[in-house]
Amino acid sequence: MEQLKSIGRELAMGSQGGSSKEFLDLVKSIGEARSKSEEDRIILRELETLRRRLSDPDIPRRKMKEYLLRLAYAEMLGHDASFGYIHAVKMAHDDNIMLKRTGYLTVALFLDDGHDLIILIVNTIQKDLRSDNYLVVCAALVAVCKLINEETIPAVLPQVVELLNHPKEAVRKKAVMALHRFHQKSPSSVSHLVSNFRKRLCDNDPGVMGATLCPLFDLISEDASSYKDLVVSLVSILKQVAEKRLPTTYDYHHMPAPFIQIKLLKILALLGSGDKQASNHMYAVLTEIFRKCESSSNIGNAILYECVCCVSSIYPNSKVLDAAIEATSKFLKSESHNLKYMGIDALGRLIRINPDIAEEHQLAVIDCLEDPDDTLKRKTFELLYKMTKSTNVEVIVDRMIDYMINITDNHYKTEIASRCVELAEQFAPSNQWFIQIMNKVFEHAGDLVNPRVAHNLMRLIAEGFGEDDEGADTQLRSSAVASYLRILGEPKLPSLFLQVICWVLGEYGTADGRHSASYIIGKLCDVAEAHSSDDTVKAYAVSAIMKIFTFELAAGRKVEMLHECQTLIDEVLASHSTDLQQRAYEFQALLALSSQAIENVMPLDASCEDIEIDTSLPFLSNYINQAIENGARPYISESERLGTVNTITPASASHYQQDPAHSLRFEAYELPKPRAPPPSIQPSSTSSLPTSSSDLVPVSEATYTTREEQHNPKVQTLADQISAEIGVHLKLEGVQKKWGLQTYSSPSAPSTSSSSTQKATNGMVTSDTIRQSSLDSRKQQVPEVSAEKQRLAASLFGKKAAERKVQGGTRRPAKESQPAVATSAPEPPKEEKVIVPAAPPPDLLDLGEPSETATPTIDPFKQLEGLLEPAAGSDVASAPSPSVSAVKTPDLMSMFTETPSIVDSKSSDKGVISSTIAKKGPNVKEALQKDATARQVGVTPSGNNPNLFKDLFG
Amino acid sequence: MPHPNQKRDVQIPISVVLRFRRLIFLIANSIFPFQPSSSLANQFFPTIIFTIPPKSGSAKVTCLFFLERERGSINSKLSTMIRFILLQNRQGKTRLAKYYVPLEDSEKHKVEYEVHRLVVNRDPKFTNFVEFRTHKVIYRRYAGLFFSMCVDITDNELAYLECIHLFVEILDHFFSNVCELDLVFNFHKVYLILDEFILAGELQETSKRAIIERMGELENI
Repeated sequence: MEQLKSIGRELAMGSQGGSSKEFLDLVKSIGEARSKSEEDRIILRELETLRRRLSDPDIPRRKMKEYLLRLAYAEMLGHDASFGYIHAVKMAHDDNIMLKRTGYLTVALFLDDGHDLIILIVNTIQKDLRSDNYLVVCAALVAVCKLINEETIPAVLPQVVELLNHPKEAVRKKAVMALHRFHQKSPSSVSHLVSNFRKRLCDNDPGVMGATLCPLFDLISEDASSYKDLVVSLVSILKQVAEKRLPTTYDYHHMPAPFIQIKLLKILALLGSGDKQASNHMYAVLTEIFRKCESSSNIGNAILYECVCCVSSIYPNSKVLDAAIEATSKFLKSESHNLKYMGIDALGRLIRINPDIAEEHQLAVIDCLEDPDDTLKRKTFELLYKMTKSTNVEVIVDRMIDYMINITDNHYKTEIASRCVELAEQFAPSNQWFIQIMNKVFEHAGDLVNPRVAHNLMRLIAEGFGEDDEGADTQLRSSAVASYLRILGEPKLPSLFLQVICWVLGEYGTADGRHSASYIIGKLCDVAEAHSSDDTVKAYAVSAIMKIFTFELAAGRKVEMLHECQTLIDEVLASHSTDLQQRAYEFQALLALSSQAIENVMPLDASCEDIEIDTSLPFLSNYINQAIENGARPYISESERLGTVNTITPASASHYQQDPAHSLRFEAYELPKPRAPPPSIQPSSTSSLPTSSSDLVPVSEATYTTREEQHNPKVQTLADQISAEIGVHLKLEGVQKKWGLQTYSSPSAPSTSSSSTQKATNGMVTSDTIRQSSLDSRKQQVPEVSAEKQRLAASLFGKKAAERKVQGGTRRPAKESQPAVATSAPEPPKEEKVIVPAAPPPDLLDLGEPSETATPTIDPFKQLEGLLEPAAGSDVASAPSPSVSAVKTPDLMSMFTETPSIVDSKSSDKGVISSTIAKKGPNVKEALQKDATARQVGVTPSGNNPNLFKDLFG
Repeated sequence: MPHPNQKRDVQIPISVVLRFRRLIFLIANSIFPFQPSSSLANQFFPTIIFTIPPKSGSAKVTCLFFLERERGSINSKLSTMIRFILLQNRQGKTRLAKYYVPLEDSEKHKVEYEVHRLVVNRDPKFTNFVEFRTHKVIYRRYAGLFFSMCVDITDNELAYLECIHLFVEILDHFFSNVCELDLVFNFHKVYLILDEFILAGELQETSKRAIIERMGELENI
């Protein structure tokens, strides 16, 4: 029967005359194709035929129309039909409206706004927008929405604006949508048209009004404050819609114009956010919609959900809030998975206003958590993430990790791993627990975790917890060592985790005396051997072995060189990686030193100590004096040398002549007042353009800074008068040359002292009461085994209201202080003065692109490396996880600088900016010190790839 | 065309790399031979190349601007909107595909394949929403056809679910009792209906009658 029907249809369609027998056959044969490859064969044959036919110079136009449709069909099935694009463009020129429409349809399907042929179609569109036939105008407007790009907007904009007043509502509607699209592509192009949108809001035709809500939503989401005057009219529109004043044709499943209602509610949510006055206008209409909406249909629930979103966004009002809570609980109690999902999402929004709301629904939430439906589960994890506090963090993070272990989707795994880390860092009840959780996260998602997390963990173990109790720290370290020795037995470990393990074993492997040096060294050799292709891990292992050796030697004990260790060192000495080689040579050199010297070079457990550097290098003065006495010329600073050059050359050229170095010059970007002391310039530029300054890749800035200061004429003094500061610069220059990387000085961090205190508070700031209460809740969970769900509920949602009251005082502040604890606290304003004197020059090219800013230290090579990988940066925007280059660069500084490891998504912008700002400080001295420390401790893996440019330059 | 200084350039060819959203800015110490086959060139168009003439004592400087070749992704920066609409049958054959963000052909293939894999085996009791990369796919099954819509992660899922249903109602009305074959043989008309319903990734018209009337006007010419 079904077949008969389809045959009938085929006959009917065949007789329509629209498509020929050939087309029908094509579709039929594809329908009957048994496999994808068979389908591909058919299409390829078809494309061959079409190519032949299209090369015929004189094709009847009707035939051409069909060919184009067949091409579109092939293209839709994923085959390249680019040879026919030009014919589609030609057909759009046609005078016959049927053919023109087909032309536009196929052009819109074939091309997108970046295609070269767009330039050919713009003329046609311009002509058609002026047409008397409104159908032609409509076809052109549809094409405009798809095809017009940023560069061609000006060519059609005036005409589209004119069409806003077209007598036909279909044209007005499409013109509004076209302007909406223009705004998306280039916001500035339509910013002057706001009044037109306002006018269209009062259009007689509800369709045009509904369409106008789209551009309005965009405009308002960018800047709500300038549209507050619309609140009253939008509320009255919503009221009229809800009261069924619109034509019944807009009804859908007995709801009056639901899609328009939803759009209106979205806009109101934006306008009422944090604005009591605006929100006041909305309460009445919201209450009414809550009352009227029937929750029996999907669309009714969609409106209810949108109302809940709106309520959670605007200034809270107890009455509408109650209605929203009621609607949410209906969702949660529903049998439908869809509604449960919406309920969980709505609950996540409402608990932001009142965290107690969740308690009533605890069992429903736990049901969703155990549901086999993955989507629902993830949504529930998102909710849990939002409601985590110090009392339930253990249960939630444990659950998350259990779930994380079993997922294969890397994107989501990364996200959930970073959430685990974030929660653990914020709420960890004990250090032991924190380390355990970190170990689990690394073990199961190691390669997906931001390297900063690893550095944070190392530092945590090294610094202890800021408490004076040395014993606790020692205990913590030995437990970490013990757990790592156990974990090393596992077959496959992620590289990042191995780095942590090696470092910790090197620093503290023998500290408690429980394990012999040769045992630890043996383990480390195994690691290096098992991961012979991973240079970073190997570097860590070699450094760790070196540390163990030196600690032993310094303590006066004799260590025998294990055979496998010797093999490893020999191998590394001949390594292609210069970094590895250097480590091995350093190792050899150290072994030859006396034990006292070794103790000075490699002090025990000193990874957190600051190193004082006297930058005037006094120990050399004897040598210098001697040399001068022997007739050597005294050192003349570079600026002084330049000064003499300057007097010779004409004033106009002096600008260029100033720099004799065979490298790039940056004069084009020079600061307006290069001689002024840095602080006076910077504060204004950073405060006014925070995003753009962080937008700039620090590379150029570092170079810029140093050069700037080298030329500073103030420095034209004799060598013996050179201040400590300049000494730093000189030294810095040497380092730069040595490494060839000009980024070198950029990662100068905020002061260590402040960062270390911040770090110390990280996760440990929980007051005693909280810890006590968390202990209580843990005790309460343990004995009950029978009602597992209730137990889970209790641990997730807290025990009773009374208990919560008691804790309330302490818990809230803990929660509120999250951003400050999790990210590096924004620097107080006066500290910003210390920031680089370089204003970011290349702003003219691209104003603040926040997604790219999260890269405090980047070197050009890494950058280029990033470029070579497809779509390296494209996901950065949405993922809360760290920037790409941060992942790629083992950042040697991050161990010692406080930078946001996992930035709280809410405060990420602020955190990122403040950290970048902090990083730019010209405090080179500190950077040097830290570098020295880092070197000493051995956490300087360098991953420069010597083959990087091989394919680029043949 | 190898440059005489090639050897020297290879050592430190690039001094500065600045990366913006779609624009790459490179400054090289000198003109370095640009080989179109290199992987950098595959991904980027060199758009502007200019050389700053050498001053005494300094090397030649070449600046290159690259425009990223990749034309877009579903993560495109555009605000909340429908990213694409797919009609697929149970075997994964695409019956209709409409993209509102520019995508490469290979990316389209991948998207279609992945979406089909995501939705085809889901338990009918489960939610009609699936996370897809950084977005969400709302799908609905009608007989053997899956209608999928990719939307922003924060959008109102139920509304889009009903949006699909409204679209199907319109199709049903237009083709009077629609079936898969109607869509296959008249796929161009389906595109036209879709253009009346959704434009530029947003709902343009939500009145069924208004759309049907418009289609009638188009049919009559």
